[in-house]
Amino acid sequence: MKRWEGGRVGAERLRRIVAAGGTAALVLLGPGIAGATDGASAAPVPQCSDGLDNDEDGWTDHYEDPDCTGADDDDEGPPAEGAALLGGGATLLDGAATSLRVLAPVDGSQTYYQRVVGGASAAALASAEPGLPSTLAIEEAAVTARYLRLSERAWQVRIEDFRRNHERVDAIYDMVLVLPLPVAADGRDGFTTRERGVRIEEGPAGRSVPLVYGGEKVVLKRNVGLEKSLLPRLVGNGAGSLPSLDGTGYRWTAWDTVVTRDAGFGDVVQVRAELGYETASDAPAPDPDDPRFAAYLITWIPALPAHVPPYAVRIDVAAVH
Amino acid sequence: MPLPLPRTTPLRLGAGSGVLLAAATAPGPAGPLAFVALAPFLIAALRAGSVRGGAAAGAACGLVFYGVGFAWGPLEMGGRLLWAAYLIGVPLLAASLAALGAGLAALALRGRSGLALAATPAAWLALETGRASGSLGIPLLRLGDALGAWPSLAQPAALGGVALLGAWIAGVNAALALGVLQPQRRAAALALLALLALPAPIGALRLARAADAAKAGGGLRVAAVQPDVPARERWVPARFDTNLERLLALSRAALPARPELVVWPESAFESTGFADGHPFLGAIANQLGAPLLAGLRRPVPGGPPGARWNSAALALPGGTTRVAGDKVRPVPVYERAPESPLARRLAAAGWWPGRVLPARAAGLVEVPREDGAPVRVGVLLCIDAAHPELARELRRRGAELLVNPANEAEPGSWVARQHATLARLRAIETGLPLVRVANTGPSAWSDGLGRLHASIAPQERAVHVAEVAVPLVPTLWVRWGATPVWLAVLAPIAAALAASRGAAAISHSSVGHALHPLRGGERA
Repeated sequence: MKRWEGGRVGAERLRRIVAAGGTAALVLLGPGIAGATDGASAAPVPQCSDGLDNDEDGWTDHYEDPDCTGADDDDEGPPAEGAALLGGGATLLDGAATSLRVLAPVDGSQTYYQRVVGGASAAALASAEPGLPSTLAIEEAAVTARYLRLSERAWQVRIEDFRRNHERVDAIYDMVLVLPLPVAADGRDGFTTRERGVRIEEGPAGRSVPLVYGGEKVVLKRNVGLEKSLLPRLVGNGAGSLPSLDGTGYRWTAWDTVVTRDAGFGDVVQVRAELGYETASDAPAPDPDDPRFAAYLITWIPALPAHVPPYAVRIDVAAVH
Repeated sequence: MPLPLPRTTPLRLGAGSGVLLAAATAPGPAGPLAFVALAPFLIAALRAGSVRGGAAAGAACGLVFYGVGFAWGPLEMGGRLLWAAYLIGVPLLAASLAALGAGLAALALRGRSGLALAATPAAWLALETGRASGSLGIPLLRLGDALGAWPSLAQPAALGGVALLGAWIAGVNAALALGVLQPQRRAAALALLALLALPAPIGALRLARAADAAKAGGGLRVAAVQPDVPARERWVPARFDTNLERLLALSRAALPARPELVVWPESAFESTGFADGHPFLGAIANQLGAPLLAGLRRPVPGGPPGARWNSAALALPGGTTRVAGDKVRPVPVYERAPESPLARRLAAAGWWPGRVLPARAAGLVEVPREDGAPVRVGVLLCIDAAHPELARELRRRGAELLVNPANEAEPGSWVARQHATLARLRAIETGLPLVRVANTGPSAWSDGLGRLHASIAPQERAVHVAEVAVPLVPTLWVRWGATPVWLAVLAPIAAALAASRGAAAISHSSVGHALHPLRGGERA
């Protein structure tokens, strides 16, 4: 158990406080108040504490305007050109104050996030912008999510040899696997999982080991909250949307984990994923001929504004009896 | 009648009281000084010999007390606005003590020193209540706050809240002043002091007899995450991930202790939330496998530009989130959004930076447990913990635990320690355990008797998991509020008035008998 010494106050701070109190008292009691007030009024108010939206970006002053670095910052506008986010391995903002960095792959190609946010200013990438993404930047994966029927009621979703561009964004993000799973007639889940969530492993089949990424063993756990908040926004008819599964006997489910980019991985992350579940014996199998059936792996970076579509990989679905 | 004090003596005594009051309410172990701190001012006012002298004593006391007590504002946060608020606000606050001093002196000049002293607790209570009320109310530097770090002395708060503590302290000071001013009544003053000292041993006895609730089991294991993010690094977009990573790393480090609730400080999640919190918090709670209570800002739909709520969201494993509470009493001007036409004009001129709308009531949320019934958690955001009525209302609505997420990176460690101390009084008042989780600390776990069970030191980046105690039975303060306190402080005034009337009647009667023969003689 830790305890704090309630009475320990730095002598310097105490001295400053007592001095200020005494000074204030003297100033207020004496005729010096006029001079003090005059002196104060002569000082200009920094833009980030003047109560005005100086750069007309909809945000006012420190805390609200993402371009304000503090109440004493005299510029509400976006940072200078040299402080902008640049692609090609450059650093966002200045190194010491930066947490979000977009890095170039070793092979010299460009990642999605380099292309999309590579030239954006810090203001455009401000996390203060409220809103959730409503579209995805979807790429096709070369693998298939196989729905294996193990018995009358037991199923397993298995994705083998999944290769995906490593997010070379030095950020914290939510890795969300969106899977179609059976829905009951009353709208409730039509499945029961047999494990904590989707196991993610690396290495060859039969000798794979749990993936440890960013120091954490990765297990994608069901996130009902995302199913209610994020996924409905992503369902639509456009190219960057999840198709509606109405009438298929399936619904979208979300399985996620929060990770931080692990520099120990190269340009590509290669994993396998498994989820076992049970369902009613008369539950339909996913229809591989229906293009709506697919799994998606979404990278949701909360530091990015809502208008930057999260990167997603679409994985075809196949049913194996 | 004793001779009035020399002209400058009331000023000196008043300033001396100010120093003692500032020391007593400062963070640290000097709280019991409050029992003697007010006495020099009372003596000065009653012996000033003029209303002006009494007012000067009060002004000196107030300027030093509030001048030192609120110096952290401009010193820590700086800026023209805060210096202006300080330079205007301190004299205004001191004016209230000047008025008190003038009133006491006026009564003394009319030979009613006894009534003046009897009225001191009520007058002080009225000043404190008025100062903490309204949208501009400042709930800090209450006399009773001085006892926050002294649970054995602070137990009367269970009967009448911090109001009773303040009245008690003022009463002791008045008794001391009585003993000094009226040596002929020293025995009575001593008897009064002995009576007033009774709560101290009773409080100590209460603590000694109380079972260690934390050891009784059944409490909730709460993890407090103290990221210690400096003010200049908060809400800087480029530092979003760095700060979030710090919170995540600390939260993950707590998992081996199997916390049943992880708490982040006020506005720790540096992204604007939504009506029901933020889904990313749900993702974090899902990964942690434990409920997460985190501070964040929320925009006000349809509200004025930039208006927001200062909120706490509860995220559960499974990813669902909900708003656990919004701040009810945002810091005046600095944080609270302008509500009057004048305030809006000041805001337009850059003299009112606040944008936070006040909530109608403090939040109460149920935190589910894997084994056991859910726990109803009352949320007091930062300075809301300085308002006793909010904690009382939460207890009356069924709260079983109070959680106080705070930030205080901007105002600094002085006021952070003050907040930590006074928050413990909310625990005593309500009989509820209280967990305070502050960005820069100190964070602390108190039981329903105000005893500290664990803490994290200020300016330390750490996480700690401790089990909070089960709640005690609702206190008298929870049931009755401040009404009995007001009756208690008004009773001495009534008694003094009755005594003086009785004395006047006896005196009048004696004089009448004495004069009667003379009158008769005159007629004759």
